[in-house]
Amino acid sequence: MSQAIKVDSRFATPYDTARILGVSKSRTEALIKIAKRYTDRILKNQASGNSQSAVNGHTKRKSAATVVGKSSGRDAGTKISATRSKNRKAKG
Amino acid sequence: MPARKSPLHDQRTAKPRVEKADVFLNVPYDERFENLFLAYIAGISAFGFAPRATLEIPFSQRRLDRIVSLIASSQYSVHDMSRVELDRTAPRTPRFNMPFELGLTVGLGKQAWIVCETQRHRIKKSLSDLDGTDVYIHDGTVRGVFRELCNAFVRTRRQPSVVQMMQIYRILRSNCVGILRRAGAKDPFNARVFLDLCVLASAAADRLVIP
Repeated sequence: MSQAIKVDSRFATPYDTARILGVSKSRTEALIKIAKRYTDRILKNQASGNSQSAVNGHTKRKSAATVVGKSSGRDAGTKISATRSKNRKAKG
Repeated sequence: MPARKSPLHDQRTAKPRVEKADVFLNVPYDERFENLFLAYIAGISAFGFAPRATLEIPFSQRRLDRIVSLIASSQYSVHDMSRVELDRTAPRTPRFNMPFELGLTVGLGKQAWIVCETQRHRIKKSLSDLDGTDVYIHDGTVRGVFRELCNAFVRTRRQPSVVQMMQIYRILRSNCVGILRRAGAKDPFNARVFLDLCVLASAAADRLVIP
């Protein structure tokens, strides 16, 4: 059995890492902002007890029953415009 | 002509300041290793460390000195000896950089270093001098890298889990294309991309690995 290395040093913050690696302040802030966006989603999902991955944007698929009645779909839009043009033709 | 003083000797006399959070990452820089490269960055950052790699060093005559300095200033080092086979491009050669940098680490008298491999028992043939040293076998998988890092390092506070490491890894994966595009790079084995990935992973770890 291998002996694990015990670590008691302080947990490096992103600012520590950026300082060590020589990354600019503005870039560090931008990367922290990106990380925050993703981690907020993960933490929110964890808090709500959802084990699904938030990072990949995988969400539960809505059942067919939920979708029925929604007219914002692409096909529905096409249908509406086709009907309109037919009406316009009839008027003309 | 007098012999050039060994950088190893210079380092012993100079003694650079050791950053407690630094982990020197010695891995192959090839396309097939991309996932594991990101996994190492995610895993090391999850432990609250700052990954360091020779990618940071620009190609120049003083490269070897800078490598020695980087190893000497890091508290820990992780050496992946997975690429021992001949590469595909001519002239076909094995990669000597990884065992060489491991040798430099041992030569510097560093205590806290670990060796990782994809295949069990292969290192007994490829680097038999390490007989008696524990080698961490990750099976060439991202999860395997996380598992072995958790076996190798134990934090007294803020010990990360494999799940948290995987979350950080996915954040890196999701943003990799954007970071590559911004740096005008084709792969993550690029100084600017590496630095961005490290800071991003560190920012994610700081929020996910809660005390």
